[in-house]
Amino acid sequence: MTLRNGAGWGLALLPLLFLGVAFFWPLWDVLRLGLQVEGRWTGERLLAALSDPYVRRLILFTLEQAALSALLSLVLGFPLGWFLTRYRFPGRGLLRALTIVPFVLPSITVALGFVLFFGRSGHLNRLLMALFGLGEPPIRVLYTLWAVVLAHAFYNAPVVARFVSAAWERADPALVEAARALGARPLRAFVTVTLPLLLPSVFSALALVFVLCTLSFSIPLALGGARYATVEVGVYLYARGVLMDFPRAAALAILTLGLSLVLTYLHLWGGGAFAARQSGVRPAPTVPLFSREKPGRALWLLYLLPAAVVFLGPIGAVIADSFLHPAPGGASPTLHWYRMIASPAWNPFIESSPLAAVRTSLLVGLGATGLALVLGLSVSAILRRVRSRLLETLLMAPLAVSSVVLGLALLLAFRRPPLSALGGGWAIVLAHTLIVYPFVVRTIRPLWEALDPALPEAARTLGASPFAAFRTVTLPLLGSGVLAAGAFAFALSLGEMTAVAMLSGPGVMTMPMAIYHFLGSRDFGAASAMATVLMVVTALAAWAWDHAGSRWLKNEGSSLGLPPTAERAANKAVTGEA
Amino acid sequence: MLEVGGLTKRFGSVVALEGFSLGVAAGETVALLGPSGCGKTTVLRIVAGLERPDAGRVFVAGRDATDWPPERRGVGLVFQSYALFPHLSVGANVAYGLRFRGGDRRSRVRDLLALVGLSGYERRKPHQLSAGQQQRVALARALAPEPRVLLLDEPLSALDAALRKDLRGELRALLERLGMTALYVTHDQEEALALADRVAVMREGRLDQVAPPEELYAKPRTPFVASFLGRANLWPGRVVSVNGDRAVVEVAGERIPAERGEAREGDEVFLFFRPEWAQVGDGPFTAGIEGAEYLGDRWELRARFHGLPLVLVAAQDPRPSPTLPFAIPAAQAIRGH
Repeated sequence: MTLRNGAGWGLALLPLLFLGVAFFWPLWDVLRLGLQVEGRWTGERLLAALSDPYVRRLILFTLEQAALSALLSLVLGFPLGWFLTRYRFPGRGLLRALTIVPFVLPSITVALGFVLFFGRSGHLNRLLMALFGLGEPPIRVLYTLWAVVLAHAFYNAPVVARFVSAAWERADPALVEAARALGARPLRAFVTVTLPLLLPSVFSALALVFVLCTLSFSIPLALGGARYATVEVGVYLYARGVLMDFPRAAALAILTLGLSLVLTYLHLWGGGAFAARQSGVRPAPTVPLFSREKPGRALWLLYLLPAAVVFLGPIGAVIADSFLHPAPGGASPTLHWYRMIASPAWNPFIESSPLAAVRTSLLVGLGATGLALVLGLSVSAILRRVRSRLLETLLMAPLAVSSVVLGLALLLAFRRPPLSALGGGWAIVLAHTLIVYPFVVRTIRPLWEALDPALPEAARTLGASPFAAFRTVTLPLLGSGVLAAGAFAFALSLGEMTAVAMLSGPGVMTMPMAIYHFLGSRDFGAASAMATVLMVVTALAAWAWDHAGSRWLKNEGSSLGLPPTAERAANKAVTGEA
Repeated sequence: MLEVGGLTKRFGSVVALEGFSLGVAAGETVALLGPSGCGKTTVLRIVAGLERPDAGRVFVAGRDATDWPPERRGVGLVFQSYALFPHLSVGANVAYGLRFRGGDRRSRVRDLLALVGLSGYERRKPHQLSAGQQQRVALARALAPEPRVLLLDEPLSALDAALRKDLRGELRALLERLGMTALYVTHDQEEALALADRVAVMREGRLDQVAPPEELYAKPRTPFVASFLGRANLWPGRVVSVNGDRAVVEVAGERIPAERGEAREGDEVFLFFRPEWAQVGDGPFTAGIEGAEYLGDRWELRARFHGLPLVLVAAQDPRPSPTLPFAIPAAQAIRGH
């Protein structure tokens, strides 16, 4: 059924109303606070902020670390993408699936892992000191620019790898074969054909990583400290630190909002200009990694071993320390930390009980997931029917706003009616709903659009009412996609710390915030145990997300009954690639 | 049984239908034939209630159904893609339309599957069937709720040529046996001629001609219908004299007698004849041969007549002779539309 645009706009009222109250109005509060002095619109506050040397350092540092992080992600990620596309080896599928993990891993657990692994008395230093008999720890990166950059690369190299790998698989292998048939040797064919095909995706990935690192919060907060703070951290320090300078926080928020809008626009524009789609008819050919004729391929170990240290070390350190009791003579295995985080006893460092933090996280996660699914499904339904750039921009606007700015907006909004009627926990639920529902839309919408519109129509001609057709045909066909979106939304909410940091109040403590406070009080065992639980839950949810998706998409060969294409949907959802 | 009148539909600035009218009598099969994009599928979707016309009415069994939702119309639709529900078994697909009405579903499903020759396939999933079997399931599913009118949207286009021919015959027999009123959309002229009691030829959202297949082939009313069905020679000319239902058409300086049709003296017309209507080897006219193609039972000749393109059929290859005398004993004057 086609609907007139008018009816579609009517349907859009409810989501727009929700976004109006929970998003646009609060954002307006931030704009007013940052751009108004005594009721008059002015740029005074922005100029004042910009002339503050501290703020200028924040901005410079933000851009510097983002650029370095993007470059390091490329250096680490491009070979990984190449490796995953080109070679056949046992465990390839698992390794590919694992590349999604860093992306959903709660950033605070990564920060914790870096402290435990790369810290002065971390695992790496202890190992190196023991191996080479050193008296001093050789690696001192923590609380420097490089700690932040390395952690960002940990996050984003897999993103680059996925981009490169996806582009490579899209490219028609016949092109390289044609080059070879025309007389090009393998290296020449790679440089003249494959590389130009990959470059657009590489640029696109670089731009995306730059944006993500610009807006990163937990990593610079936990690993950079106040000296190496980004603009995002700055907003938090002004709003929630000892200063409580809301107008300055709002001014900074407007700066970062502008920055992220410009960067997002550039990224989309660049992506659109470069991402010429290749129609890969056949899957790219792979060659075995281990072969007697080509022993040179063993050189990959020179890349793989250091990469494994960077990727697995921090995660391994968190898991290991959660089961270890540190003692002067050597650590002994223990479940003490898990008993501690299951305890309902009040803990002064997190100003709550660990068990209450777990409960709050689960409740917030469930609430945000439920709201995000309803919102995401209705937004998907509306955008399917109404082709309007304006409506799409409005309905997906929260995507363009960083979590810190969102947190500040809701912090201000919950101090006045109507939202002040709700309890403080609701601020976090709303923030998480706004953060995750765009991902729900991005997971469900492609599935829905790929669904043959003739299916619900067939149901209608067979006597089903519109609702019956949705219930008996559309929803079952989208089912696994909806579950996957829910799992992903839940995982994102559980691991989200930025908005929580902005909004948490007395008695409202979530798991990532608890980890942050445990880390601050150097209670590494409890932090590790809670981080391990968090990682397991999010990894499970991410796995479910990566494997689900609709099995019943059309345009995938002539027959029905198709392999899951969730991987592609997942890439799309994460990167927003058209 | 089915009557549409004055249907007009625009998609943005594109006019899909303009004043389209057609009637289908009870028990009759009408094929809607036309090139892709001519609006034939839009007619079907409007009849099914999946699109709303901008103007015009739809009558089903004498009642105005224009404003009814699809589920109330009693109109079955077989989709081009079949649109079988992939999450339901074959049996559940066929039973789907029976959910919304009473009666013994199981025996009805059994009967329908037997009707299309798929007994015992109830528990299969659609993707386990061949394309031809999927097509039969789609047909059984559409027939299940006993529709008053059955609409078929290019139901055979996804099948390979041999299977298409087999199923065409089966479909015709089945529709006849059930006495079903059917509207059949296709762009395949052979299929339309073989299946339908009457064929409606569409062009750019309008109906050009509706007639039984033989009449459509022998007496096309427009140059488009003439060239869309079979091979046609169409030469621009002018009617120089009229005598009863005969006329003389002047083409490139030559005067050629033809059936008058709707033409009047002085009209600019097309002189139309099928290649097989011409006699070759003897006659008042001379064709310049440009090429010949052997088709097994005959030769098809590409030729020129005073610079105008000409197709002829012959029993033998006339080459190397560069010319061939021929006569046009039967031809028609068709007004350009």
